[in-house]
Amino acid sequence: MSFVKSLFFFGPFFFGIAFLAPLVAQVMLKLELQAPFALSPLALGLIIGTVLGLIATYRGKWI
Amino acid sequence: MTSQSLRAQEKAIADQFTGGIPWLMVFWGITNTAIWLALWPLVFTGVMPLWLGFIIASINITMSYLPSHDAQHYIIAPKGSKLEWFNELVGHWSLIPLTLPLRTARITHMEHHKHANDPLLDPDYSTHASGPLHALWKTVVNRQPRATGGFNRYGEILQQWDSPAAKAALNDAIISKTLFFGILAALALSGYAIEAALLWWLPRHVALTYISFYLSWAPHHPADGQGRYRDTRAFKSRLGNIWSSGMQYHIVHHLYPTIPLNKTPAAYRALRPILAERGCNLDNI
Repeated sequence: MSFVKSLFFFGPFFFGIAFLAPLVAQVMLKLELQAPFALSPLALGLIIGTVLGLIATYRGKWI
Repeated sequence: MTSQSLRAQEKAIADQFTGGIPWLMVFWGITNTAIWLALWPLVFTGVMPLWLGFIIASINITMSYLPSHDAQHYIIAPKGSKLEWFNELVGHWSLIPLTLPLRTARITHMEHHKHANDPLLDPDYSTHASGPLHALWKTVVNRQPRATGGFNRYGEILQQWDSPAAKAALNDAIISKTLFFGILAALALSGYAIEAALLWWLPRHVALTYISFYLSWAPHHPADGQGRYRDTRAFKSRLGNIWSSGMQYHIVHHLYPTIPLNKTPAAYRALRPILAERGCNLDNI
């Protein structure tokens, strides 16, 4: 059970990199948006997903 | 009239609305999930636009709870009957889009019936709020990763109970949650993140907001009474009875949980004089 609790504790982080990151990248491609600093859409998605996921993991809430 | 004779009269009326298979709920549960599943190939192959899929998925997932609710109470077929498997099938199947396992929903819902409005013992107490806007905000708060309410409260309660049924329900919840996020991630990493977001992830949030508001908060508001005739109310919904999922007459369900959802309006009209005499909160409906 402690393993499951740990896994769920870091759930927002996993959600950020495994779902939000590709979501951001695919939305950018769909809308033909350019990422800043010559980043690829996936790189930008990973940055956004990781940062948001880590913040949500630390705070225990997304908003 | 004495309280005892009033209760006997009440039960005699309620008995007229129980029994038989509620085919409407069965049809609803089976077709609703089937339609939601059909959205995936329809959208993936371009037959249906994603925006339309999102709207239909939001409706599907919002409607997925109530057929299982009848199954949770063994209304579709009684426990121990030959058709119990059918009851369980409808219950499991209808909840697939919501990713809420039947055994988890059932055990926590039965506790809600036993302890409605008890701040410590009612698993759904976290939806209670001072008004509609506050109730909507609570649905958001309860879905945060380390929220103390909502499904997290279910998990906390199931861990405390330490019974085989609670352990099974907890295991189901863990598997369900892991599968849900695993499938979302697999779809996203395969190039279908937008489809996953708009056919499942976001519609599920829409559904949970609606379900929490209309199926939990509204019928128990102001949630300051406990006991058979005090913990649930009848209320006039701005959206009407159908668009509030029949919750205007939820008081009937708490008094007689084996009356199918589609029969609660008629049962309410028949029971109303007795409920009024009991001093129930009927909101002039």
